[in-house]
Amino acid sequence: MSKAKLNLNVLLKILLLLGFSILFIFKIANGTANKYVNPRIFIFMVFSSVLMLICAGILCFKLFENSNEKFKKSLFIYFFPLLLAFVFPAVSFNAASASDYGNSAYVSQKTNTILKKENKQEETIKENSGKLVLDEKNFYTEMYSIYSNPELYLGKEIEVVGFVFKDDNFSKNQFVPARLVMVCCAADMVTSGLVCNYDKAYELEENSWVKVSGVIEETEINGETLPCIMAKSVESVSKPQQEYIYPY
Amino acid sequence: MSGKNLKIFDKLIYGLVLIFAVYMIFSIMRVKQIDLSGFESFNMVFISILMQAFPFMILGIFISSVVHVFVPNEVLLKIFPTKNGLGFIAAMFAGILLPVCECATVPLMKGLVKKGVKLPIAITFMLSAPIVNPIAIMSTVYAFPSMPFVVFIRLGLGLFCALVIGLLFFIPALGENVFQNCENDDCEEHSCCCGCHSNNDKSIFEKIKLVFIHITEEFFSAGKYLIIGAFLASAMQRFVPEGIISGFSSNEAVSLTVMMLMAFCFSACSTSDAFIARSFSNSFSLNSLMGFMVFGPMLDIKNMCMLFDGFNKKFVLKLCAVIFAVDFLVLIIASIFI
Repeated sequence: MSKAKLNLNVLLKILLLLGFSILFIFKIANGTANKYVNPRIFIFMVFSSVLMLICAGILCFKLFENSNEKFKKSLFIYFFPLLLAFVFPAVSFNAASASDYGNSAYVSQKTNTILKKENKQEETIKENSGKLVLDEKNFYTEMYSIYSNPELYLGKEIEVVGFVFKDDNFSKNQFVPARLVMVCCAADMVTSGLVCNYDKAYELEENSWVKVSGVIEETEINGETLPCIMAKSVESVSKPQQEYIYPY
Repeated sequence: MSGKNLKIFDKLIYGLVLIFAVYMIFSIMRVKQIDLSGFESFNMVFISILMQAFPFMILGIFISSVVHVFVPNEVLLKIFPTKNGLGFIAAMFAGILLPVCECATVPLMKGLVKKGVKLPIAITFMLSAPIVNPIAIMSTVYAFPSMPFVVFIRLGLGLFCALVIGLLFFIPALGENVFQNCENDDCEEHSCCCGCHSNNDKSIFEKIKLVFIHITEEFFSAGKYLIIGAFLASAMQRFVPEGIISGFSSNEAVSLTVMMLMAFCFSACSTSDAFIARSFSNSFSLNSLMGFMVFGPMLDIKNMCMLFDGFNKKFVLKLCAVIFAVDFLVLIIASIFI
């Protein structure tokens, strides 16, 4: 009797569990996980990695049980994403790849405001008469606020960093200093930003990063009145450390 | 070494060679800088869906395994009173206390019916438990952070559908001949996917070990559907032109049917399907997404297979038809309000 025969199914399962937990921990450790998912998922990833490691450990006791069990081909399905995840480094999205399905910047903001009514108090906006500087933390909320109550922001000075995004509907002196907003994961990224009027917009290279300073005004695109930035200065900057906006 | 085992080893080696070959091809393509941007963005989307759905699935499996191993069946039975009114209410909300996803509810429901719980009540429990599952609720909240009402609509519609479907099974024509002809213990033994019965008189260490073995079993039975689902979802997102999908989504009834069929085929766990639904949110209406998130936990390919395992075929088909019809009608009516 060959009692000490290896159970291949169990061996594969151990390898797969190890693989997935190493994948999660590895991606978090080398800082690329935030290109895949919103950082608030990290804690769940770590927790599941620990569980998978324990499972793999306990499975080791079963390595030599039922070694005549039928071989499960379906286990190979699990190697497929593991392989893809390890072979291909995380890539950054740009508006072209993100907006295939997401609508272009201003449109998606328009529809979203219907869904979300997070209106800022009128007083706080007027009181705070200084320059509005958009950064990673306030980008999303301010963007909502501007699109839902543009009249409160007219004439306000604004400074924003974003990548150059151009839409077919734009005239040659328009562009969006846009940011990609990741709600959950790379599957739901949306381009977001304010249209910017800048007389040399056609010179700007798409997807290059710029810092725009200007005043919020209104403009008309496709018959829709939208808030926009009248650019005073546009300078090129390097890509910010935190590339995406994580609203929650 | 038997010949059979040799064959298995051969297959394994072929598999590893294949994996290695694919790896080499990808690496060469990368070095030669062949344009892979389309593929790479697909890959990012695919991995990212898995990266957020797997942890939630594992968390769900973990909790349901703990319940499965540590809560004896007799306690489960006590939760369901025999009086109809109370029974239905208990069935609708028992899932909050028994955080199991749909992979676990089918065997559980079968056990309940065999132990004397009324069929309509057991069906209501089976259909509502995955939706009121706290982890499913949590992941729905996470998946639609800007739309907190989504989770309430999902709960409301799901519970309502579950109740209606359960009540329909008071009709004698629907609720007869539930079980397969063989009434011996054999059938029951096969119905459970995990093979971890009779765990009442084990030591605490054994039980903990059992929890993790159960997690592994569930992970490897449900995970592959998640991978296939994520693959199809990201392929659709990346490679199918938007026009085709929005063609579907122009008509409410058609897009609802498409989403329901998709939920059926994807067989995603109720604890993570909200994320998949979320990834369709740009091309489908909220109501169609509800179809995905309400119908999906109630019925999908892997559920149906599990049902066929212990119940009469005709009964399973009737059940599936009723679930589909009720969900479709309720969601079509709901579409007026959403």
